[in-house]
Amino acid sequence: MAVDRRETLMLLGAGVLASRLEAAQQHLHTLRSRAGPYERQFFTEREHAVLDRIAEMILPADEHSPGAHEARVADYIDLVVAHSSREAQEQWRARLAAFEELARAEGGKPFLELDASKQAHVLEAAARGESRPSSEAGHFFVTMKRMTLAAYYTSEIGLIRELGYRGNQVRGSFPGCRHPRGTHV
Amino acid sequence: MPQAPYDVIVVGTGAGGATAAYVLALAGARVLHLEAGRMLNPAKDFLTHAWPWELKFRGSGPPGEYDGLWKINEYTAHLYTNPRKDRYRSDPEFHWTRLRAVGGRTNTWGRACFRHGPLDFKTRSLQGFGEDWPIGYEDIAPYYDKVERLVGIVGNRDNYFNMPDGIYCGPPHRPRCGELLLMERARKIGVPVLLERTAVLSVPYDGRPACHYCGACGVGCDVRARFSTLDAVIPKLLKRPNYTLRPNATVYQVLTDENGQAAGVSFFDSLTKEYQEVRSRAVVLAASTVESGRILLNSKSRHHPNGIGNSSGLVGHYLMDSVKSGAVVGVLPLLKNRVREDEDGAGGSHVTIPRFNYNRKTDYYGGYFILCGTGFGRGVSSAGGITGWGAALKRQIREEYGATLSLRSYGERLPEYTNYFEIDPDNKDAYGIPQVRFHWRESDNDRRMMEDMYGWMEEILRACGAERVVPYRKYLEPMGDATHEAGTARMGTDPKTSVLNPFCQSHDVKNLFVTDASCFVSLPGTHGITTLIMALAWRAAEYLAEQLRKGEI
Repeated sequence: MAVDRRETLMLLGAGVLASRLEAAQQHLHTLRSRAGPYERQFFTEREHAVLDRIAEMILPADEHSPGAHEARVADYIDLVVAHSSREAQEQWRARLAAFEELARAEGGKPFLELDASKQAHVLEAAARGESRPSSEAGHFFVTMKRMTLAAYYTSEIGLIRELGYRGNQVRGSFPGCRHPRGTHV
Repeated sequence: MPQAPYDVIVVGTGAGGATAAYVLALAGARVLHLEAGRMLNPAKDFLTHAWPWELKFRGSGPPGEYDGLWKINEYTAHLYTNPRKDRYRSDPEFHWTRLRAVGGRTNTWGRACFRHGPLDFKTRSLQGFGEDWPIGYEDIAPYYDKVERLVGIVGNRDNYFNMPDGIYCGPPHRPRCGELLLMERARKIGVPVLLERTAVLSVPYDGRPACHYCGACGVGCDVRARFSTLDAVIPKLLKRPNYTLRPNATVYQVLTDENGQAAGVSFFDSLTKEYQEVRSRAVVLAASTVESGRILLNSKSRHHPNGIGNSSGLVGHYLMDSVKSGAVVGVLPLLKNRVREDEDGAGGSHVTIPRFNYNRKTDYYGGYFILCGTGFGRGVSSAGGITGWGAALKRQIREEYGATLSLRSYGERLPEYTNYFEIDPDNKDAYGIPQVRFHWRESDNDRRMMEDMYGWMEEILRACGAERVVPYRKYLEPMGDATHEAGTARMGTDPKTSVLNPFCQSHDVKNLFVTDASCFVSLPGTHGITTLIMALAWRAAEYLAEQLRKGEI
């Protein structure tokens, strides 16, 4: 929560009690200080590396912002799957295995050992018909994509650096749309 | 018999309960106010400014943890009853969202405050379906005035059909670009769009500050800029010597005397589970529609074998909740690639599409309103429809960020006897109190209204120039999902066909009142039931205070 001095003064003018703002800031500080390095809970090191690679392929780093790898998307997927039902966990494992089978079928090697263009070829094969996935590898792609998007755009990199979200601030007023009237007609 | 230590026990501190307690305490009655949950501290209990990545599960909570109850998430779970820890049965799935804490669901409510109009109270005689209320708009209008002054509502005077203007303490919040676009475009196809009438302050009012536009009202406001009974009513009451607040008191039954009149209530201390009884001259239930009905049905005695106030057998029946569609999302080219701005604004939409089918012939009864979502928010609502992966996917999401308009409809649910809850004797909560179970069906009217909703939402998006509508399926959310439960102790003049009289007083038990949405006779497609609950509660409490003063209760 970036509250600059000017806006704090405006808020005080608007009647927000300083003690309340301080309490809120304090509470946030407590929340923030909890974060530590993530320890893998469900996937093996190798599985995690596969998820990390696929996530980065789905949302790659570009000139605009870092990608899913730097946003630690695979860590978040691991956390969610670790807290999912046993059925969901087994499904993740089975579908990941189906994806690896596809990699072997298409490229003759485990996914991570393929070169970048072969990996792209395999992912493309899995993504085919994604609006109605019919194979296990297809389901894997759809789930992986959904989770990657969810994790990336709720990360600081995804929401702030990539999308440019500027909210969650303390403002003295809200100007609304500043385009001239009739601009949208 | 010794004199009761209290004139009135009010059960529940949400909209209906706090209003009743406020009116009664100001009238001089000795009020004991019971609340099942704990006292909250807004600065500590509301995660108003937390970022998703500061929470373990990015705000969503552990997967599947809250059984689809959308208001419960990682920001709010500590406020709500977890449906997996206090289970209830339903057929089919019913979404029951419970918030046990001082202030009840006003802590996280939707904040819309449009008045219901004359037609809404005369459903049968003026619109040809359902039942008429035993009161009309003219009976409730003066109480809307009082409630609106207490709540502090900002809005515009629009002179819109069947949705009377109210009393506004400040100007409405200014529309975001997507909302302005919607206002300009929808008008061209005859769809009205009004600025939101909302209980989020645009100016300081009643000792509370104006909104600081962080957009997080839905998780609770740390500075009290949106109305809640916790912040705006309870503090006024706590200053009065004739008012006692007792949090952590889970009410079990209404106790009766030898004549079958209400004598007080029994409750369990929510922390120690100790059983206690407390006496009063009158009892007001406002524990939320379902919880009040549950208390009535659980209060069985020699005089009231079917539960107190239930000689009609109708308590629990005519359960209603708004008919709620899914969301339909369009991508608007005019809003693509915009310069980023903070569009959080006051939480939620700054505009509403009010019911607009008055002059159209429809194949269903009632009407609905449409809520919209736009702006540079925290989600990527367009992403669902984009196929592929890689740099192109990332770029398209970036281009369409802030360029979506999302619509969702909320409609009138007709009162039906066969939509109901009842006591589930085999399922008891942690205190041993029998739980309720729900039975309901989607009606033909619901389905026909749904078709109209989706048709119009898509048409409105097209009128706004949507180049793409994210694929959706037509469906209705489970009943309860709109958290507008109402109607299960309805008011009327005939004790055979209603539970309460027009003053929310039990036909059977003169010193028993119910002042939450239980008393509703219909649930119109008008945006905002909270101030109606409060207006009805105010009117009932005023009547009760007068009866107490005259010694008739």
